[in-house]
Amino acid sequence: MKKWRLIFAILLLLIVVTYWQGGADMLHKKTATPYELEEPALFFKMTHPANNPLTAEGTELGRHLFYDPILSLDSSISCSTCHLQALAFTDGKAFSHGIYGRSGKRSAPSLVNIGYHYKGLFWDSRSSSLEEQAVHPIEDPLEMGNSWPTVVKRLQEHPFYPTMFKAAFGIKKDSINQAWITRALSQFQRTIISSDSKYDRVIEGTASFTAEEHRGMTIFFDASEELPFSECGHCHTDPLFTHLKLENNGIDKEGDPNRDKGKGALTGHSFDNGQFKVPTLRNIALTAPYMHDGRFKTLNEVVDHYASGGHPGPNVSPNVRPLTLSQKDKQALIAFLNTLTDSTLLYNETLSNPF
Amino acid sequence: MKNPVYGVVLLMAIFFLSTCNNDNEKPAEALEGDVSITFKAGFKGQPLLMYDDTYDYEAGMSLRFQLFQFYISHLSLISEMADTVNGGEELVDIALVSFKDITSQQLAEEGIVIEIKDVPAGLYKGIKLGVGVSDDFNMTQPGDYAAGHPLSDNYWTAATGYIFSKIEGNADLNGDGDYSEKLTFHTGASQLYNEKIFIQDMQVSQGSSLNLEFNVDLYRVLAQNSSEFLDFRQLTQDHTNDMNVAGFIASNLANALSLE
Repeated sequence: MKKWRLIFAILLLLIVVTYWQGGADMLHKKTATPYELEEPALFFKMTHPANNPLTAEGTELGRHLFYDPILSLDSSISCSTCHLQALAFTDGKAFSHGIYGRSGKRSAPSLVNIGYHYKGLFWDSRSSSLEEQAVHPIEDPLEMGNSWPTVVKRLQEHPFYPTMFKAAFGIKKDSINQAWITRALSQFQRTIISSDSKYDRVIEGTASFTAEEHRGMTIFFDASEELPFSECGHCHTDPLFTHLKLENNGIDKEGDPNRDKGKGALTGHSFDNGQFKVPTLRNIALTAPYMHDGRFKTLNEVVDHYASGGHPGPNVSPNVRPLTLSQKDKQALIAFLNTLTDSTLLYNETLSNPF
Repeated sequence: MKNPVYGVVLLMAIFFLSTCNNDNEKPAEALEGDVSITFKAGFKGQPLLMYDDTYDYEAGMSLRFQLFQFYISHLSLISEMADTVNGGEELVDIALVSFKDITSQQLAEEGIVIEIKDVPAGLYKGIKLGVGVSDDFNMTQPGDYAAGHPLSDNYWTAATGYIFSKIEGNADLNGDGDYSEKLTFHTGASQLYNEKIFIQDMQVSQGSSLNLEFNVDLYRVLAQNSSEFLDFRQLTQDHTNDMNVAGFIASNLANALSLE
């Protein structure tokens, strides 16, 4: 009899603990609608945190939060202020502007295909996930300048957000917190996928390059001994057109005290100085100015930089080396880069401002 | 365990199973152990460190590295009864061995470690692996894999295959301390895949770990001897454009791999 009592007690305890720990998730599973992400066949498969699967309600909530200035201290800017859909989720500025017109320290990176960036986020790759990344702009004094308690309070007291959080995650308004907010923002960002450029259609066999574009692609990928190499494809690896790692591309003189040290500022290692995450080139024609500080206004300037081989340095990528590109080759390269523009991304209503 | 119903069912199952096992019968124990495989890189006997350390090469040249990586395929233990070519217990189907982040003596000493659990216990007479990406994998592409899989990266669309190995660094051609010559050597093609077999008795024992250590000497990848080496005064890059160069590197890489 004692044995049965003990078993009964354990069962009861198990029921209480499992419900207490997983109640919200259980409700979430019952109410939220799984979101089937349409992933491009050539992309590796996106992975999702176990505690943040994509749902229709979660991505919709994330979209609202992304476009809502409620997240910033003075309710003047939203995520979309620096990540405009029309500019492939960049802002066209060398340095992004935060609240009160404060200037940031780096250019806003594109969010195109950001859900695939599993090796790190930000120009220095300091955040390991979208959920972790989303914490920072909200409390950065040069960006949204807010505090998380304030954001949470605003959303808890908002007329419709508590309902959206409940639909997305099965939580009551008192449970809205930083973790749920960043999960929603991350869900939305994982839906920002671009794979309908002319380049993609050529790969699919439904479009053709012009002669100039084809020449540019051949140079870009070092694909023929009969044309000069540009070394672009080593770091801007297709299909994402980034290998997602950090490189020093020789844009700054070694030892320049005024230079942004990139990852080196985080680690203190000299070999990390000047190391920045390689940006995607998808929609590159829309994302000027270029580099982490927007120093190059045009693609011509970018190509000229790489053709020069950049500044020397002990950790400058060996793939950045002097090139022998004619003016015709440079223009062909740019013609090819223009084929990476996906105009459907710019008008995709599921990614647009819901307000 | 989010659903309490599952918890109840599980606990009841455990209870009934335990009551049915009162005759002290022990469940059959799987005879399995673990295998730990470590890869370490060196250059003429020195630990290979990226970025800062320099290494004397041939003809008065000196080198510094930023990247050394290669794929291995179908790493298998050869069971005592199996023939060396076909039999075996596969431990690793594909892996990228990258020394890119080896930037200190400590990291070099630790090496790149691959842990394999639950390997059938027993006596094995050797180990085999492919250096590069085997044909069965090389016909796939990143879209076949999830983020973080070794083959989600290093794909060469123009060649419709993977880049088997990468060596990137800088050379000082004249011994003047100026490492301005940039070196990039990338190999990848089916014919550059090489299999290696190491015959050596090894025992996987239940409840313990078999530690295997592979060493690869990068000098031996670049040079066979003081008269046959990649002369960086003549050549600073190859992306498998010249199969003689790529083949030289690929066969050297396989030969430079040793099992301690």
